[in-house]
Amino acid sequence: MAKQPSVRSLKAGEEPEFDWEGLVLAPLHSSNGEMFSTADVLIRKRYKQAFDGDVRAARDMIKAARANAKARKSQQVTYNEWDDPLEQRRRRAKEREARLADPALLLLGIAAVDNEAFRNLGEPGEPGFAGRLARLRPTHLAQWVVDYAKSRSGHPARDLPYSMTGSVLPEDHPELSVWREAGDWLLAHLVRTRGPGATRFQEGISPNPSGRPRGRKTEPEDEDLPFDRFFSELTEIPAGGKLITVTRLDALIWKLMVEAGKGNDQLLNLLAPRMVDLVTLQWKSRVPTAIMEDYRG
Amino acid sequence: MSPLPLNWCLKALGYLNSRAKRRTLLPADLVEAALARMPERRFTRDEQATIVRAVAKPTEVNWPEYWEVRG
Repeated sequence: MAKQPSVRSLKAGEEPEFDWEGLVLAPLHSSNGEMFSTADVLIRKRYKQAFDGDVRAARDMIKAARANAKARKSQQVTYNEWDDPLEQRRRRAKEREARLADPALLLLGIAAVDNEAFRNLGEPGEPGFAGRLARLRPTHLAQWVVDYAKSRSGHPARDLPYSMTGSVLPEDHPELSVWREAGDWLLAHLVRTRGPGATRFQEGISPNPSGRPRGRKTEPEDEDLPFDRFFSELTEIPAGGKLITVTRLDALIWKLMVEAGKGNDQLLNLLAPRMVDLVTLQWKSRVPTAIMEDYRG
Repeated sequence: MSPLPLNWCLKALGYLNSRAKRRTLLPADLVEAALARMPERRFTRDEQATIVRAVAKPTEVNWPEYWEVRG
């Protein structure tokens, strides 16, 4: 007995012979041993009828294809970068890195915190104090840093642009009075919470307690869609004197259009009002590019 | 006038490369000048580590004699 080809590689319209006596038993087997559900068999039969020019079957298949497209659209998750937990984590890491040198600038007297920012920080123990301390940035550059930049050998700096002169204050400025009085207290907090010791590995504490974050899913899987597996199977159809490989959906739409063009008025009446939908379905059917090029050629 | 980010000023003064995007790394001579302005201040080990982490080339800095964290 000659070995039958797999159903997946059959020409469109050539469906396998099924053991119809065993139809009530699930799963079904085709004569070459592949397993199918009853629904799988029925849709293949209906597809064959539509391919042969049955108008009612063609209407059913178009309905199935539209149901499939609708299910795909409803299950599609739009990817929003701003809400993605992984992106949020990356963004926070980037901001943390930008603040890394702030305690050193304050320790060395290169920068300072003005009264307003200092008072906004609040007292330790108040709700939100830790977050405000983590986000605290130095507000003003010390005047000596500008003077030193101008006296540096090799590449002395020019005057600061006018827009930046507001960021420089002398150390005895009244705007920095709170910093002069209570700066040591703030520095102790900063070194403890934002120094290198704060991020050092501590024995017995998991650095990644919740584990690897779940991956994101933006495309529905084929198994989640009712007819996607069937419609995206590849088949061969004769076109332009040679066989081309396309998906079942493309093959059906192509065949129906050809039949309607040849003068099947019933099919034409069925297809004409749905032309836009059909073209959209064909466009959404995700045919590999190489195959589409073959199809167009 | 509201103060601008200090990195912009440090770039304008030539302390940071104008292409520096994220991390602020201070030049050795600025750190030496800052330490020379406070000769009596003794930094703790944690403070030293905090400062060393913000220096571009810590091995090129002439640290004070008591300094333990050399980078």
